[in-house]
Amino acid sequence: METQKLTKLGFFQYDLKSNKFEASPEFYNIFDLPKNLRDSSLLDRFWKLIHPDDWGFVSRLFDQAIKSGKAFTIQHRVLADDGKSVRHVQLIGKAANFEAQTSVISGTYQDVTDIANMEFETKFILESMEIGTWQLDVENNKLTWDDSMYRLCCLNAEEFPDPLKAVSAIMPSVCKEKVFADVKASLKGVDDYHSTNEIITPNGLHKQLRSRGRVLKNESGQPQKVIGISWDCTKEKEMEAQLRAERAIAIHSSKLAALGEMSAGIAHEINNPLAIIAGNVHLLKTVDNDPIQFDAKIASIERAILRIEKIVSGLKKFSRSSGCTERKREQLDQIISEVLTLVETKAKSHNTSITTEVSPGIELFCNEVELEQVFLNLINNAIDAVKDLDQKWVKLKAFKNSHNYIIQIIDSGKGISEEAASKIFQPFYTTKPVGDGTGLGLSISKGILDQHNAKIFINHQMANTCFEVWFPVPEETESQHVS
Amino acid sequence: MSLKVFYLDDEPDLLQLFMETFQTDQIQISTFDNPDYAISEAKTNPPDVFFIDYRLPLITGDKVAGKVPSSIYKVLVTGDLNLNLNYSFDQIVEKPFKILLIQNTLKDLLAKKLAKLGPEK
Repeated sequence: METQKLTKLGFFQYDLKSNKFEASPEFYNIFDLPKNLRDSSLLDRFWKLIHPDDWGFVSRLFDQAIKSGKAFTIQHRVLADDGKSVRHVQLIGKAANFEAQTSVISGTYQDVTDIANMEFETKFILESMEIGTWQLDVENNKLTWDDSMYRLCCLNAEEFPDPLKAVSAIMPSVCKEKVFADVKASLKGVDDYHSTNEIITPNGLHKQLRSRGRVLKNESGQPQKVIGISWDCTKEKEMEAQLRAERAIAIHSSKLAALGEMSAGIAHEINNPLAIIAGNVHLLKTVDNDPIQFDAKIASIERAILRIEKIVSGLKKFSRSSGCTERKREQLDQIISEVLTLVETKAKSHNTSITTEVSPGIELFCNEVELEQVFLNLINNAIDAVKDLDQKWVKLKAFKNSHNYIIQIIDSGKGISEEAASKIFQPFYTTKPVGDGTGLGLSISKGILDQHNAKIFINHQMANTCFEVWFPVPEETESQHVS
Repeated sequence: MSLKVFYLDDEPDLLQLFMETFQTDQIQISTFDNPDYAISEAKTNPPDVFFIDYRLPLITGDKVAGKVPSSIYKVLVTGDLNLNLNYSFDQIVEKPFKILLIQNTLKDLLAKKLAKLGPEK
């Protein structure tokens, strides 16, 4: 009895032949019926409580149950005595047949008002947020959409009663294939279904629809259905694109600032070999009858040209537009070598030595130009940080631990205060004199590294200032190393 | 009677070129790639003119100029842009330098030196 009360579950039994209607106390409570009512008076009162709009389908389902003798479930509304308040109840019943005729209908009634209200609220919230819900019956390959899904796709449910046909009508075939592939993958795997696809509505509107779904499995672990939600993320995608473009501009501006800082040194690096070329060309006229001298001059010119080529090629690569986000497998030592070409004049002018200890064979899946910028920012900062110290050095170390490639940029400074460390990756934070730094270098570097799933932080355990960049080692590489 | 010239630069090819281009009977050139050694030589045996590169290992050209006798005519040789110098040089020559410009400087200085000493007897 107590269980019935707690679960708001009431039992009833109706004998069609004798017109006898019996019910448990909780049944009376659910429908707020006087306890003295029995049989036909109870039945009459009970029917009157059913919401007038639900009479039709409740009667139909009862008739069907009586005829079929099968178990049935109905959810309907009931009115309170005041005729206004509405509660929701759920009936699970079965008609029992004797001698090929249904004689008894019995079942349970449960007050599901709270659940129904919650469903209503959820539906209201989803509709307000323009979120559609859907369900895919895996066994029967049947897709069900709610009204919001049709609204999202600007389609009419009467015109497209089968949502699978609706999908075909609005989704380009490439996207459709991707959706089916994503669904298949989530049915096989353990992950939820995640997908973003383009649709073209009947009035020609291009929309980006983002969907999340979860696979529900039966007791034997077989996928039974996928339930999910979809929403229009067109504006979100547009904002993402805008953010990407703004980030590219910020990166490019920061690059130009870095180039500006290095321009004096770069000019020196180019003008020196140019002076060698000019001088040798002048002297070539005087040694044209001395083949050994002549060849020596030509060799000197060639060396000078190679030097200029190297610096110009480094600059060309570095100055490339940041719009390109292509990532490839790149050798870390190559990236560091390119960066060193750019910073060595600055280091030289600040009398700062730069040494490297890079384990060979470290390969990163990255955008080379973006990573060059990160290391250039870090090394430039390190050179600036030690310029007033007696000991001026910068060390670059790169090695692998169990799960990460670790790149350390250590300088002869004595570390960074906790306060500065807490703000150092924030935009516009700088300890450099006004006009010397934009305060964007480290925040942009962090942004680039975040995009690469890499981490950057200050290692406070070291005696000297040490910035560490951690790149996760790809799993395949880890397993290769293990084997 | 000759003009004594020092040239300090960390580019060996440029030192060689300087020597080959400007060395004459009347212009005696000594080249240096080590700033400390050049400063020491300039103090003990001062040249008439000292060509000093700006970017040098562990020191800049203006600091070198500040460490040698003020009587020496000092020429800064640089490929840099917008230098913030701590020393007032007698002349600044930009790399890649014009050979004629340096030749003229050397000729002028030699002429001045000769004029100062009076006619040779």
